[in-house]
Amino acid sequence: MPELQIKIKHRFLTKLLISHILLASIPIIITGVVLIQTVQNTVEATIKDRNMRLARHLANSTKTTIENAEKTLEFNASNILSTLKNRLDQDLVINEMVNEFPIFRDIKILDDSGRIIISTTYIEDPEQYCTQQFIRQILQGKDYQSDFYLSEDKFPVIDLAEPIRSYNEIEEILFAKLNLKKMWELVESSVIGKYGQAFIFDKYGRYVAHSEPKMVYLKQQFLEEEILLDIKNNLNNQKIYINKDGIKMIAAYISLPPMNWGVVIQQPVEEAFTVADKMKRQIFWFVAFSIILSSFIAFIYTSWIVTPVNQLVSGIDKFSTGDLHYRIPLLGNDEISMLAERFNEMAEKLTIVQEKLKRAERLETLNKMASVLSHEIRNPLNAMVVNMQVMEREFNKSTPKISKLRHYLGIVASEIQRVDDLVNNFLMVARPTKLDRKNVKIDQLLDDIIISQQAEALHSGVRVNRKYYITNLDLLVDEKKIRQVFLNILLNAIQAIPGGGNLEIELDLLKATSDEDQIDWVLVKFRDTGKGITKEQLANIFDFYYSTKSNGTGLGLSVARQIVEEHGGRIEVESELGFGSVFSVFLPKVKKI
Amino acid sequence: MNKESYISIKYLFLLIECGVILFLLQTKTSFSQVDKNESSRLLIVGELLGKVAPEDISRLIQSNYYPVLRTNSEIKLDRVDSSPQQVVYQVIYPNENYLNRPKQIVFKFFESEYRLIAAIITEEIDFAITESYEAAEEIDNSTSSYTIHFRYPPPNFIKLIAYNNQHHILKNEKIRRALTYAINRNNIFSRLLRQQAYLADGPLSNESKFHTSGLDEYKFSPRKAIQLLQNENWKDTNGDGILDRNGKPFQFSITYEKGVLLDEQLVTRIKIDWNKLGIDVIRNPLFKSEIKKRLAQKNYDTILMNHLFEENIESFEAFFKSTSKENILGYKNRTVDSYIDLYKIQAPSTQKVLLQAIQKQINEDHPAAFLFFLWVDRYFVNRNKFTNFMDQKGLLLPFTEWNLKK
Repeated sequence: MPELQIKIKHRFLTKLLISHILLASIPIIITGVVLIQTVQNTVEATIKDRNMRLARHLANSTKTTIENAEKTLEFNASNILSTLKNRLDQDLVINEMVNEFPIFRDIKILDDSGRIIISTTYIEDPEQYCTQQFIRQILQGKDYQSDFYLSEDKFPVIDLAEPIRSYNEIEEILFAKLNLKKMWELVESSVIGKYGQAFIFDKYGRYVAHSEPKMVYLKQQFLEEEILLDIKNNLNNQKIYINKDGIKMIAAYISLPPMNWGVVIQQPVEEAFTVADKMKRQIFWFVAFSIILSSFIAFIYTSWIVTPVNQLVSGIDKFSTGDLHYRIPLLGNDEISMLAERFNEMAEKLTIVQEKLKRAERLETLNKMASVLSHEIRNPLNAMVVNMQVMEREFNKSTPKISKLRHYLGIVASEIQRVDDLVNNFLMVARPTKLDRKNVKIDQLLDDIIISQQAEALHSGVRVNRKYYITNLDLLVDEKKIRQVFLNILLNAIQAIPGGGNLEIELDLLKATSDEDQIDWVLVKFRDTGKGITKEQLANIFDFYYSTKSNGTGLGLSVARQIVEEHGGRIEVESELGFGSVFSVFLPKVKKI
Repeated sequence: MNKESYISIKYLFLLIECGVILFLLQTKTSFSQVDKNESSRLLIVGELLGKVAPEDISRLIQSNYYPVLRTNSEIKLDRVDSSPQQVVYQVIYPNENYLNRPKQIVFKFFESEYRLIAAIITEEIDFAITESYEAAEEIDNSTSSYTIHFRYPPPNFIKLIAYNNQHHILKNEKIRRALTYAINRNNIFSRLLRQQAYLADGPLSNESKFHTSGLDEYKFSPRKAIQLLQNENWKDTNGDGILDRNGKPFQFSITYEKGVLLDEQLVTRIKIDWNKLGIDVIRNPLFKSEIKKRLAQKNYDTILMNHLFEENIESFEAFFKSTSKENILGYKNRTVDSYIDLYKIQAPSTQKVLLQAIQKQINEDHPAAFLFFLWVDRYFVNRNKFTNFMDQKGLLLPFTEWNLKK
């Protein structure tokens, strides 16, 4: 079919489909990209904001915890212990402080030389602080806060000291070890996600508290220089960096100015953006699904548009290949349907015109045949008249010779037979009978014909070869007429090889393509090694009463073509002068009845 | 020898030399791998010097305090090192089919429970026991490398304050009773023990079939305590806040297991309670070895300790009979002594009555403050290093049956 010859990319359906898909997909893709970018930005902003708020909260809590401890210590030093001169009462107060405020791991009261007077723990060496620098600092009226350190029993502490005054004179020192483990709970509660971390580090980067406490116990340090520098400069910020394990982290950090400590809340970027990634994936799949859905809808819609066009093309194609009775089905009432309707109207008119033309052509043929027939009949009639006159003269003799009479009578009879043949052939063409189709095994039919003409072939020195590519094939034809077709062509071929030669008869089935409109064709080829046919002869070879032989009727091939065409087939001839000719008979393989 | 032969021999020697070096390197590598494997087959038990004396480890293994071996096991132990820092046992297996089991069991001693906690969190040790809720909570919050396994101590495993009944102040039972009245046990019970204990009124718990009802529970009553002390003429006469009598201050020390978190916290609270009465209490934390010596010599004033009272007369006899060498209290009461002697010749029904009568007498004499029965201990097992440490019922298997992870 012609439509198959159009490349897919050039087809109307393809073009229409692509345009529809593009029209639907481009806005979806743009929307998807914008959505993904928005999600990314929103989630990033949310994460940063959340981390910052958490870091700020942790920093404030840490600051408050230490400040509260300082205030508690200061309050007890200035308002309670300074008024108590009783050692047991002082002992009770500091023990109550340790008992009530777990932030204090140990509290001691030192005298102005640094000697331990009272302690909430066992006093191993009362002189242990006597040489410490902070004693002088306190005696000068200043508060004291040590750097963070890990005690011998791996306890994270900072030391605080406050002067205890009596009448504005510093008499004793209240010294406390702050239990920084109490801040670990705050840090632990500030961890985000499964792999997030929260930690506090001192001015040297040493971990004071960490969501993984072993980092403190193992005296690990935070090494991210840029963050350390920012903390040193009291800058609060956020940063995405790659840590020493090669993991990309998103960190929010806050500095704690009085102590130069830093608070960091961080999380692996991959984990932090899990939600964003999930949303992005969902958007991606939504976009992909939308594109597929819109493509599917576009396909349905374009198919709906293109189907009438295809039907129109198919109809025109059938019409152009000779099926003048085909009409395009009308679907809907759009422009394409109107076009189909106009086409059907045109086809109707063309069919009528075609019928008229056929009729005219037939009349013309019959006229021509009648003229030829009258001419052809005249010759035997003349022969009959002459022979009858000779016979009459012989009768008029006294002793007519019977043998002569018989001879002339035989000639007359022969001429009558010739006239009869001419008339029969004329009638066959002029008044074709209806086809009497039945299933015929085409190879057997050919075999019958070849066997019946074997003697004639041998007599002419022609060797008949059969080359059947198919056998036992049923073909729905009028056996009698098809037999005549093959016989005419076979005899014609034998006669075309006057000095003897080969005649090859091929039988084959030409399979249709996958298209529904296609049919299978049975091909019978008669290939002779005769003298060949000239171009001029080829042009007229199927004309009625055209013959290159002296005794030919000129009807054999024309009748054969007529019969084949009545079966919906065709005859093609190829010939090369001096080398032979090929007559190809194409018969459609009609379904069985 | 021509020059070519000389060069050939030289190269041959060089080749042999290289082969020898490669062989030695290979051998060294395999030896070092064996060494490494051997050294990694350690099971390190963390213990506190305050709680366990290194010299007691063998006894504690035998008594199954540490689950090391099954009874009648073919596996043997050989002590290869013993010092205040560690006690090391070589495990001798009957054959070579135990290559993924611990080869050595090392008992590593720490001076404080905080240090022990740090050692657990940093995975320095593979097994530890703690009775402190706070310690367990911290470990649980800090690491996921350990499995917590709960052990329920035997009934009547009690925490008590032993009063030295021969101390010049504490020999008076009214003083002892006053001291116990002053202890706010409910506060300790709810805030420190998080209610994971039973309050005690005597050596036997309520669940014991020999327990006597109607004992004085010595509920927290500062008023009663002050009254008793005043009745005994203990008053703050010089205004220094400390009670005194005949010019002598009411002062004594409290000995406890050094570095044991729960005991340190308990002592702080008890000291506060006693300080409030005007009693000067001096802390005296000691390691277990020293505590044992002091107890044997009765060289202490008060001591916070754990003790297991079994439900038989022998257990009472050892702790309370005046002639017993294990009577660390220095407690003497003829009635109690006679009840104990009588118990041994009486029928079971009478025996129960006698044991209850002993409890009543002890309750009145109050030679010790019976605080509470401990409810639960917690084992920590390094699951990053070991498998097969628990049976299907969730009970801990002996150390020698644990498998090292590959």
